[in-house]
Amino acid sequence: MTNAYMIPHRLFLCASFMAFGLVLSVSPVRAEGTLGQAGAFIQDFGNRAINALTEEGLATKELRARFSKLYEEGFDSPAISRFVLGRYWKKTTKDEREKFIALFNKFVIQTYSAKFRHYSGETFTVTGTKTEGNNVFTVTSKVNQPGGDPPITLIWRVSKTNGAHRIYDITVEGVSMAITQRSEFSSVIRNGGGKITVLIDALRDKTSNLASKDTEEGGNTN
Amino acid sequence: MKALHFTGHFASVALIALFATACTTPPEDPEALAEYEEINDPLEPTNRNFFAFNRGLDTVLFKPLAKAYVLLPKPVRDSIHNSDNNVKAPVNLANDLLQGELERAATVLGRFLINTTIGVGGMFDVAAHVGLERHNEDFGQTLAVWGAPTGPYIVIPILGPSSPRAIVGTITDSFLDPLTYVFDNQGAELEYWLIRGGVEGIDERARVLDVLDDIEESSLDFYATVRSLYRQRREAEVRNGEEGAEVPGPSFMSNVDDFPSVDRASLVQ
Repeated sequence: MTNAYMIPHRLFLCASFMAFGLVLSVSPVRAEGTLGQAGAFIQDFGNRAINALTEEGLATKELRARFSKLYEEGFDSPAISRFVLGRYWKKTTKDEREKFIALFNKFVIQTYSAKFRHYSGETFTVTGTKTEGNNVFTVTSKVNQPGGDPPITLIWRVSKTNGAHRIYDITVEGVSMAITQRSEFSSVIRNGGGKITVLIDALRDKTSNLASKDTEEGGNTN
Repeated sequence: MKALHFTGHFASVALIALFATACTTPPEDPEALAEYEEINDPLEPTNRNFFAFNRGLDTVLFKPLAKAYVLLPKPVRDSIHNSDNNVKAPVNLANDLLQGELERAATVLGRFLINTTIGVGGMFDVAAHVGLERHNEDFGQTLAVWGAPTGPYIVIPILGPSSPRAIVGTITDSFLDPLTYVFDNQGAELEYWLIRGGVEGIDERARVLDVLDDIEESSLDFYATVRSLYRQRREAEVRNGEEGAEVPGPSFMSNVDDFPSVDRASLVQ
């Protein structure tokens, strides 16, 4: 039988607390040669992210501020924003694009930073780097789960522009975060008659709902 | 074999009902048409209805059951999870062989032998400790390896996301499962399928409790999100975890005006 819950839980465990985030590496930092610069970048970025985002008793506001900083630093957010709009990107006006990008960034920060609340001691190891082409790399890593379940495979797609590494997608057990997000957004636009304003409104509603939820809980979730 | 007839009748009635009800018409605009075909969900209105029904059922039945199940000690839940996987060994083995995956077949056999004996009837996943990891195979994946297309997305009441290929796969798997015949001799085949399906369902539901809540809370269109997740997971299972659809690199993405409507990555919706 197939049902939504047959999708292995490990995918969701990982997606639920990490998505675009990373976990502490407990393995010794390998020589840059084996992992390449991209692999070393992921390992280091991951260390810093986990240290910053899983601190005990972190208030939601501070968690989001730190996540936002890391997201801007390590991810190619302009490229991701463009990708998730898919074929509708070229149909947007400049004003719509600006609105969308602002709301999308807010959406990412709210939804993905919250997942770090579920962190429970998972460890993360970069296992390999592949060069895909023009300064584009694929970094493979394994997340070991406490409790003996098999490790989760995470694939990071990294590009290097002007000497800086930027992540533009994460694939968790074969599921790409960017593709999933794009699927959802294009469904919203399509069902809204092809108008991107429908998506912008939906994002506005969602981000303000999530923001007011936090205010209710006094700014400290969990 | 009553359960097989039951499954067969249920599947065919469900399929007929689905196709007879709301079916969206393809758009005329060529770009929109290309997207429509990529998404491959002509039954979307009906699917959304069934999806909403399933969510309701989940809220009143499956989620509370799963939450109660989680109260059981972890070793108990683990042994249920492991036994369930062990019982599926013959089906996994048959499908690995049908796909020509001899090494994976050998792993399944090794796991079954070790876990049934040392692992006390499959309750303990001893084999994983010696490097024999579990994997899932079903006839739906075999059909995929043999080249059968997945078919349109279907949401089945109670059971959730599926496809014509997966449905045929499930029915065929019931023929491949020796326990079907064992229980048939005792006239308890239907009970076997219901109980095993129920236990497996609750176990899996419990494993994704928080995660699904998170995804639901943060999604603008939960139906579309689940559809995409289901599809990508199925593709990954068929590939046995090897490299699959990729998001194109940023330099490609930044050619805003050249952004094509059909690209490799969008084939996996």
